[in-house]
This record gives sequence, structure tokens and C-alpha cells, in this order.
Amino acid sequence: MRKTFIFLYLLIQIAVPTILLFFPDRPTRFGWQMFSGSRLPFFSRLFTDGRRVPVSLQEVQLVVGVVRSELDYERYVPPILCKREPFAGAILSEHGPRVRRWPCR
Amino acid sequence: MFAGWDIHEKLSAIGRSSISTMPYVPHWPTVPDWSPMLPLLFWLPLGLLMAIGVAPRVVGALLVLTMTVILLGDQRTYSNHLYFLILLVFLLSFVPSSRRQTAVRSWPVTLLKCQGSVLYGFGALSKVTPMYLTGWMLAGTVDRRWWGWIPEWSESPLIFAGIALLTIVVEAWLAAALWSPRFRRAAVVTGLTLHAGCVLLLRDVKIDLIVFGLSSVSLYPLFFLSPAHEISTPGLRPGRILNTDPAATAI
Repeated sequence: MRKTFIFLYLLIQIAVPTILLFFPDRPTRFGWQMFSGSRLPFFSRLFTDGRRVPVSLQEVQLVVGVVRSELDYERYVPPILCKREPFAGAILSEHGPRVRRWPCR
Repeated sequence: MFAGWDIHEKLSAIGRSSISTMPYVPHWPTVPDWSPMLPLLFWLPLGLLMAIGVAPRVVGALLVLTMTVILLGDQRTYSNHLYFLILLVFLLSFVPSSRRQTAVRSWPVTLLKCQGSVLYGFGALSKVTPMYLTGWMLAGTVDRRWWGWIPEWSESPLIFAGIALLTIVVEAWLAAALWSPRFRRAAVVTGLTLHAGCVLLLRDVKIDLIVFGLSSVSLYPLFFLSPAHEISTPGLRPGRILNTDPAATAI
């Protein structure tokens, strides 16, 4: 029983971070990937008149509360950024070479 | 206590933010009205009870449960140091702790030591990426106030790339060197320098890096425990034990 517990504990503690090393985005949770990267994109607002205004880190911090490298920003932040600026037509998020557009409704 | 304070600060910030919950997956059960005082109220007394060895399994289970609820309740309350603390408390709850006992079971201690190596080892492996090796991550996180007295050339990308490589080597070395009687003392000095450096040099350092450093360093003394032969004492099942007191070898 004890040997099984020790084996399973070590297996989980080694297998999980090993598998997470093969995930494209860093850092991931439960993988001990401290300071290995950041998933925080660079947000900007696109207005209907063609202007593009960057969203400051302070505003992102205000929206999220706690800024962490591994948060799923692109799922939660764009709708709130739209709400905070009624004249925005879309939100752009840039993370390295990847650029995504989130239309505001 | 530090971990409770850290989570208290985070829950307060989450309470003021525009996003009430950030679950891991949609419809994930979350506790929407977090009380920021909850961790402080629970973790401080439970941690003290654990430290003095009062019912370690029950207290440990309560601590692990309450910390896991916070860890998994929201994406923003996850932190590596909280996850690390949960694992440490979980393993510590298997170590009998009492002032009368001078010996402890060896297997939870071995797992605690392994956990330390896993932390440093994967910390190093995960940093072997072009992004980290360029020094870009470090350049963005170092507190510039500390660089005021250093010549301008030190801010060159090459210097940060060098430091980035050094951190990987140091973490990988710590994962192994703590096990070696020959390099153990040097590893302790290196580890202390690494964690102190993180706290002193990184920008926007909050309590979390202090918690992380303290919890990591807390494992170092375990590497100095000496293995001893089997004994049987009340409350301790026969098994391989580790001496914490040289006199205990006479048992």
C-alpha cells in the first residue's frame, strides 16, 4: 500500500510536468514553469473610425484584478474591454506572431 | 501565514475587479463570494497547530482541503507556491511530529526531498525555450532601480541572455546537488542566493515570491538528515526511520 502510494505520487509529480512541457504555451499550471513565459497578450481597441488605441497594462490589471502569466486572458478580457468603451468596434489581441480580433457587440 | 496574507490580497483585488469569476473551464464550480479573510482565519491557526504537531493528519487534511479549494476555485488564485505548499502539507501530515519523538518516518521525508528536486528540475527544463533564453522574460521582470549603479552596458540583451542561461543551470544543478554530500552545502548557499535574488531583484515583488522562497528553502534541512536503522516506538510503525537527534541512535 505504502509502496503503491509512493510510486503513484512520484509518477504524477514527474509525468504531469513532463507532459506539460510539450504544450505550446508557457507557462502552464501544475508544471513548475515559473517565469518561463507569459500568455498576457498586448490588447488594443479598434474604433469604428479606424483608430487603434492600445490598452494599458493598468487597465488590464483593473479588469482582471490579479495579473498572472498563465491566465486565459483572451477568453475573459475582450468582452469587458468592449463594455468599458462603448464606441469600440473590436478588440485586438497580439501575442507574438498571433493576432486575434474580437468584435464588440 | 504569508500564504494566507498573499491570498487575502489576491481575493481583495479579485473582489474589486470587473471579472467576478475566471473558472478553469466553463461552468466550473466556483465560490463567487470569496471572503478574503477566510484564508487568514483558517490557515494561520491550522498552520500553527501543524507546526507544533497537534493531530497532524487531521490538521493537514483540513489545510490541504481549504488550500485546494482556493487553488482550484479560480484561475487567478492559482499560484505555484500555493500548489507547492499544498503538496508539502500533504506529505508533512504523514510525518509524525511530537517533541518526544526524535525520529521520523523516512518515506515522507524522501518524497519531500524529491518534491524539491522536481520543483527545481522542471523549473529549469521549462525555461529552455528561445523566448526565455533571449533574456526577454528577465529583462521585463527585473527591477530597474537596482541597475542604476551598474554601467549602461549591463542592460544589453546579451547580459540578460547570460543571466537567463545561468538561472537554468543553477536550477538544474540544485535539483541534483542537494542530494550529493559533496555539493550539498554549496547547493544550500546557491539556493538561498537564488531565492533572495528573486525577492530583491524582481519587479513588483509581492509576498508570493517570499512564500515561494521560504517554502523551497524549508526543504533544505531535510537533505542533512541521516538515515538510521529500524525502530518501533508508540505512535510510530516499524519502518526505516531518519534520525533528527544523534542520541536517538542509542534507542
